[in-house]
Amino acid sequence: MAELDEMLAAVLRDLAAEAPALPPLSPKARRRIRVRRAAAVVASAVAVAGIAAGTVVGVQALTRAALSQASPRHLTTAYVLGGSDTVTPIRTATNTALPPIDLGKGRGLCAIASTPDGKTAYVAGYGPGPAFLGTVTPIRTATNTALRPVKAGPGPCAIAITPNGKTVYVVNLPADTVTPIRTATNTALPPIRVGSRPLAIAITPDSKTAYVITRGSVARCPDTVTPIGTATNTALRPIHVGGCPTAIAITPDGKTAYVADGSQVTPIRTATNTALRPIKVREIPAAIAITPDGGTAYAVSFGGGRRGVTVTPIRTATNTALPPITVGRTFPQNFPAIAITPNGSTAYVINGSGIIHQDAVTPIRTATNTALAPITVGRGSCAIAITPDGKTAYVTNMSSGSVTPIQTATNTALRPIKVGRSPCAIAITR
Amino acid sequence: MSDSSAGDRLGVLYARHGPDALRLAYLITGDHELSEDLVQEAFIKVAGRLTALRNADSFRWYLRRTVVNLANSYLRHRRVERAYAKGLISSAAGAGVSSPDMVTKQAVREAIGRLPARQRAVVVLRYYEDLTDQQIASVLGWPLGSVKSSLYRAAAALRERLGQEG
Repeated sequence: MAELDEMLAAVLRDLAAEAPALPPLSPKARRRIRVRRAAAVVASAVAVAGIAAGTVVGVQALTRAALSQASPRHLTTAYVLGGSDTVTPIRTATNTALPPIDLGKGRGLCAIASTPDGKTAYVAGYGPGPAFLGTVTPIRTATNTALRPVKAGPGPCAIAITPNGKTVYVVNLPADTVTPIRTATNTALPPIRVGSRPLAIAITPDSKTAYVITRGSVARCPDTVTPIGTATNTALRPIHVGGCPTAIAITPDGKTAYVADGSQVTPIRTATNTALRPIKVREIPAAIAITPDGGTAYAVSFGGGRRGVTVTPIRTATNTALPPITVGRTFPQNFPAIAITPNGSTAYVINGSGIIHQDAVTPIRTATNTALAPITVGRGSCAIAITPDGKTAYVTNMSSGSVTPIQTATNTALRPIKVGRSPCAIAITR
Repeated sequence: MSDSSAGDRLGVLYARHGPDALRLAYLITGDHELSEDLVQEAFIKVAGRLTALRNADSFRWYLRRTVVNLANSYLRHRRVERAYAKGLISSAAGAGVSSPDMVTKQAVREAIGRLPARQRAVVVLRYYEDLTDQQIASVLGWPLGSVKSSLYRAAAALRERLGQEG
C-alpha cells in the first residue's frame, strides 16, 4: 500500500523534527570513552601482538624467582618472541643474537615465561589457521631446541609459572579459561573456567594461588579478579574490585595483590581474598610492578594527552599513593611497561612514543622517586626485562624489529640487536 | 596525539553522528530524556572501540545498531511502551488537530506508538532511514527472514488499526 508507505514516512519525518536538540557530550562520557579505549588498547595488544600484562608479570615472577639462585652471567639468555613464528635467544654476556628457534610456520607467538630453574622456557602461541588453536611450546634452554607443543585453549595471551616450577598456567582470552600444564610431563590438565576474557595472571610466591584478571566485553567492564587454588586447580569465589582491571602484581611476601583498573589500584588481602580500600591514581593505570623489598608498588598510568604517562608510587605499608612522577608527555602507541632492578634501586618505564617524539625508557630512582633523563630506544618499544644480575635491561622494539640493551650502571643504550619481525615479549633465564 | 586533539576528534565525531542517532532514538522511544541518555550511552560504547573509529561509515552503522539495541532492551526491561503512545497522542493533541490530513496523521502516530518496540524499530529503519531489508538485518543483527516478517506484521497491524480508526 503505497499510501501507507508515504504516510508513514511523512509522519516519521514530522516526529523526528520533534526530537530534542543534541546535548553536549558530558565530561563523564568522555572519561568513560577514554577508559574503554585503554581497555581496547590492552585487548588488541593482547590479541594482535601479544603485549600482555601477564607477560610482564611472568617476567617479573621469573626475575624474582631467579634472584634467589646464583646466576652466572655467561649462561644468562634473553628469549625474545617474534610476532610471527620464531624465538630469538640473546646471549646477555655478549649481547649477541643466537640462531632463532623456529616454532613452525604461520603461528602467532604472544607470551613467554621460564621455569625458576631456568631449564625450560614456555612459549604460548596460536594458529596456524583462523581457529586460534592455542599451543604452548616448551623450549629446552640448554640446547635451545623446541619440544613437542602442548595443546592449550584458543588465543593464549598470558602465561605464568608457579614459583615451585610445577605448573604453567596459560590464559586463554577468547575461551574464558585458564589451562594448567604439568611441567614434569608437559601435559595439559582440564581448563579452568574464569571470568569473561581473562587477560593476565599472577601467582603468589608460595605457589598456592593464581590470580586472574578479566577484561569482560567491550560493552561492559567486569569488576572481578578470579583466584585459582593451584592444589585443586579450581576457581575460587571472584573478588570484587573496580571496573576494567588491566594489570596485577603480588608483593614478594605474598600477602597482598595489587590490581590496577580504571583510575585506581585495589589491594587484595590474599589470606582472605578480600579487596581493601582502593587507592586513587592517575587515570588508566596499565602496568604495575613492586620493588623486591615489597615496600613500594609502582603503577604506570596513561591518561593520554598533556598528562602523558605518569607513575604513581604506592607505599604498601599504608596503601597510600605518593605524588605521581611524570615520565612522558605523549600518549604511548604501545602499552606502557615497567620493570624494577633486582636490587630495587631503579624502575625502568617504557613511556612509549608519540608521532613526533622518539620512544624512550625513563629510569626512576626509587630512593627519591625522581625520574632521570629518558633513554632513547628503538621504535614501538613494548616489553622490558632485566637480567638477574641487574646489569642490563632489554627493551623490545616492535616496529624496529630489534632489542635495545640498556646498561643500568650508566643508563645508556647500547647498540640495538636485530631480532625477528615484531618482537613483542621477552623473558630472561639464567 | 595531544589531549585537546583527541578531545576535538571526539567532539567532531559526536557532532557529526549524534543528531541522526538522537532522532533515531527518539523515534523508537518517543521520550526526550531517554533518547538523550541512550545516544550518550551508545556513543560511549562505539567511540570506546578504537577499531570502530577508522571508518566514518562503519562508525555510523555501529552507532545506529547500538542505539536500536539499547532502545529495544531498555523498552523491553522497563515496559515504557505505553508511555510512548501516550506521549505521542498528547503531543499531537496539544498541537490542535483540525484538518482531515492532521486527523489521519494523528491516527498513524498512535498506530506507530502502539507497535511493539522491535516492530517499531524495523518500521523506523525502513520508512525513516530508508534502509533495505538487507541493511536493516545487518543493523539489527537479525536474520533477513525476521526483518521481513517483522515488517510484514507491523504493516498488517498498522493497516488494521488505521482501517478501524481511519
